[in-house]
Amino acid sequence: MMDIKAYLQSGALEAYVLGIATKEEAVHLMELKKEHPEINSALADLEADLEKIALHFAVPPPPQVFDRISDEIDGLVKAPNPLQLVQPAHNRQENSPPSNPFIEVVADSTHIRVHKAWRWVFAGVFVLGKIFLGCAIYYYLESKQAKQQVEELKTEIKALKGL
Amino acid sequence: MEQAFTITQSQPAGVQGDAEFNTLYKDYAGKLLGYILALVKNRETAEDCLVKIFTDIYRQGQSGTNPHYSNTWCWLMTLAREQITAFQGASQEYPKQNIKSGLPDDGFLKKMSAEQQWVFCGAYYHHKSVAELATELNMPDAIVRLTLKEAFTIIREVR
Repeated sequence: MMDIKAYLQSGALEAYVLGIATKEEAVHLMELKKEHPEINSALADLEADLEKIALHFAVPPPPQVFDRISDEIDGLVKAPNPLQLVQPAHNRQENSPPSNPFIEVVADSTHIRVHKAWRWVFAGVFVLGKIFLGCAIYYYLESKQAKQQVEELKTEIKALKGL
Repeated sequence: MEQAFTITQSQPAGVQGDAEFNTLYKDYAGKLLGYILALVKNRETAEDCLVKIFTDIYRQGQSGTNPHYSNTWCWLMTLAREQITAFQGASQEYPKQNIKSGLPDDGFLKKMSAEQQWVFCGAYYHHKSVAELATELNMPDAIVRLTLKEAFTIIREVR
């Protein structure tokens, strides 16, 4: 039977709260915790000690630190007024079609952002477009030439028939 | 049945409106800054780390205690160590020798022996394992744990 008092005095709990206990030691402690409630109170005391240490060495941050955090999270561009979306029931008529479940949102920004991969897609489309344009011009000229030849042949045939 | 709906932002958005986050900041920002400052020894870097830590906490929606840690402060210390490593780069470790320099030499540290200080600061600030500390001090693991226990006893006595 394990001597729990000796275990509490061994420093194993201190190692655990500091996060330097091995995995086996942590598992062992978790098992003992279930059987011995005094371990729970000892751990709570140690955690309180850690907080006390932290408070002893605490350095209050200047107010601008929180402002930086706030700016980072909220973004640098802030809307002047809170966003307000209203769809009042009294404006709707009884026989009107069901209201659109989607909310119209008008973006303030005039630009969109796309993934960088799209530039290769656009480049490919551009190149293909040029190729197709070249082919179109080529086949148009071919077609025009062929029509001219057909006209010439028709004229020759008429001339031969006339003879 | 159709229902009219109104969506109005009646309270401040973002950080200002998050009571839990504000409480976490109020309770732990000073402690965390002191902890980070002891490690990086540079005020600007320490503040940058602090901003990054709290920003990440907010973005990940972890303003409450992380369930993997029994104690909020333990969790925050872990985040701080990770952030410092990220800030300073993997190749540049923060100095591990004599972490005590730069810390206020009053209160409980003054009452500890050199070995107790080394073990406590090594574990608390640098998260050194018992085995590492035992190698550094050339003593068995069990003695390192006992030394840690003694350090905590001194801390508890200085109230």
